[in-house]
Amino acid sequence: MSNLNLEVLVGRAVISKQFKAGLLNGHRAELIQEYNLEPEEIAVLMAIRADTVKEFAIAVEQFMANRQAAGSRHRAIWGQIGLPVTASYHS
Amino acid sequence: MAQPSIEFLCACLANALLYYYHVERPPVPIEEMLLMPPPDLAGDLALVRWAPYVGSMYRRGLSQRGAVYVHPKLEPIEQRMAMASGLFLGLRNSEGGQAVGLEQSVVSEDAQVESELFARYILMPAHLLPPDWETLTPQVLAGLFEVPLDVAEIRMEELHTEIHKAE
Repeated sequence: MSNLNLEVLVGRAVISKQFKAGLLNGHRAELIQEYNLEPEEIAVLMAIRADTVKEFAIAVEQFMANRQAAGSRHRAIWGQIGLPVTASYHS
Repeated sequence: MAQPSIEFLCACLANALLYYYHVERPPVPIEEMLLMPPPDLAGDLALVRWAPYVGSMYRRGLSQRGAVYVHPKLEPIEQRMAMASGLFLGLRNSEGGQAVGLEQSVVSEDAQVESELFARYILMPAHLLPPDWETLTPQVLAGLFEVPLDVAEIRMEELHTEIHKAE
């Protein structure tokens, strides 16, 4: 599972005032359509409550860390009992 | 107060710029990024092929416009590193960079460590590596991405670490 699209989105909010304003002020749903995001990523992004781009970035980084940790646990458990390991994230 | 990590911010900024310039294969056009910065960074980034010594620096002039100064006698791949590092300093000084906490996320006094980290991220992005990159030598990757050999070696170590962390 790639973090690339999420990173591009956060970075774009730093280098473009217009994009940042839209992301924080009610146009998030239409702006994130441009990216090839998974349903879970869209749900998480839409649920972020942030007044600043810094708060938004912190929330996205936290989500990525949680997803990676959950993915590692998932692989460890399923790997131990000999079942196929998928790269998908299950909350 | 919480801060985004410097690694995360470097990845975000590098990948956003690669996306903005539609970079799909190496080498990354770092010079073009400084010569034609995104509109909101026009006051923070420019390229001047001059420096008071054989090296590089980032400065704001009297007009407050920021620019990366690179000495033309630097080796071409060293110039690319200098441009990428200078690009980071411009981003750090930009309105957006300050808003996202880039300055606070930088821990070293002169930001050299962080600017070199960013330079490696943008000049050797993970998603532009060939599929068989782990079988290639640092020399081959350094040639492909037009970076100094030591930069390719460090970046390969970083990428190996990231992969193992994700496992």
